[in-house]
Amino acid sequence: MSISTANKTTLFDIIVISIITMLCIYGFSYAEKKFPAGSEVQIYVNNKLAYSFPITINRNIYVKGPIGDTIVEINSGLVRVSDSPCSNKICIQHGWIRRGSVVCLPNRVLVLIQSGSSGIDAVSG
Amino acid sequence: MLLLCICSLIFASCNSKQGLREIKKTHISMDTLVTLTLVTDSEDLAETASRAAFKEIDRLHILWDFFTDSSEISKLNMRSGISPMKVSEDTMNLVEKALMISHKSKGAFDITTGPINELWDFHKIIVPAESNIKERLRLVDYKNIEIDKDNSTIFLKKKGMKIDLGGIAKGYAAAKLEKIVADAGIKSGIIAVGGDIRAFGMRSNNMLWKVGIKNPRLQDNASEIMAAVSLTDRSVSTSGDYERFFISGSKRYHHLLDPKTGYPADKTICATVINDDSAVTDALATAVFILGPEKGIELLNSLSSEGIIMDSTGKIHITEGIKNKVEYIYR
Repeated sequence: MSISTANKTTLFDIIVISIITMLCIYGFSYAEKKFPAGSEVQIYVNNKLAYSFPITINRNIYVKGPIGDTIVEINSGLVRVSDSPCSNKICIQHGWIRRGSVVCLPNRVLVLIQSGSSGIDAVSG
Repeated sequence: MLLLCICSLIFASCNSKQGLREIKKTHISMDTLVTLTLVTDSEDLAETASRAAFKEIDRLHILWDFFTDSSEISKLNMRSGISPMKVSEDTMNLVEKALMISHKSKGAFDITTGPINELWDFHKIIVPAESNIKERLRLVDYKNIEIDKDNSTIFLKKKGMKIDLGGIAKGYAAAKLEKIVADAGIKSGIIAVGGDIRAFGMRSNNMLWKVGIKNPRLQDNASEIMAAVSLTDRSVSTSGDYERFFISGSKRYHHLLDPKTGYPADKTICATVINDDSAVTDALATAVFILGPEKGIELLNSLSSEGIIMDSTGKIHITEGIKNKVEYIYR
């Protein structure tokens, strides 16, 4: 008798399961926001991956391109091209970025921030 | 323990199709960044598909590069006023689509603005002389493009005419790349050729793709994304006055030139268009930008397209169909 009573799912059980399920969902999404997958700065030259660095460590990277050295600076989670041998300097004018990319077309250098937590899959504009 | 198992099962079923993940591949072509996000369980398949796609976009770039004499489009421009020229299937398709949007927009989008575009140099920060603009405006009229589909030829009827496909080529390329990766076996993904986006299928977690719209007036602490829309099997393009511009005096001179005046259009800050065809969204975004919000929304409605337009005062105008589907991140 006592065994069959123990196997019955009560309203209380359903409520407890629902609450725990909701807590799990909330916990996972909170953790994903709070502790995002590590953002990475990738630097391509002539469409080939040349360097890859975590965005969390400050550094200057001297990137050799076809017309000279492009200097990429990582600082406090932001990235910019601080110097470039190109004539138009559009890459430098782009300034600091925390997501997306900066391209120096004349020197064939692409600086790309890969992050998995923004929720945005592509940007139009 | 049982509860933990239930929770884990719920998560496993909600979060991803089995084994599938999103693999990103990047490339520079058409003077912009091309990003493919492909949903697959195979790195090899993603590599094969992206290689084929990048090869194709490089081919299209060579075909349509306005600044290279050897490109098909430059050769066509050099034959203006002389004789028709046989063109490739891609060029024919693209010019046809461009003319359709030119016709629908009553010339707000016009690929014959090549002679005017040449006058504006946004790096040297020089406003062209008014007399030069007026002189070249006589060469700008899409009605002077003659297409002969039977013989696959295009004729630019006036000597000196030049077509520049920069306002539609990236969108066309995005659609072409989707076909190439699909033929290679990729069923879902999102393709970005610069700001021209093509989303197809679903994300690896069975959710829609989320496309952000760039904030046109980015300041220090502002979000880089103004709004976002979730979608699939649709394309999104944006034209904005922030892409190539300079400020002289207190006036902003940008690259979106009104084909009727030869000067930058001034009714709009940015225009985003959503449609099934990415070549259409690319060209329509320019047309809507030139026309401004009122006529722009009329045009969008006539072509079963949706759009978000920020006018020159910063006010947002939006088509009925997506009024409740836009997530505003920063206004």
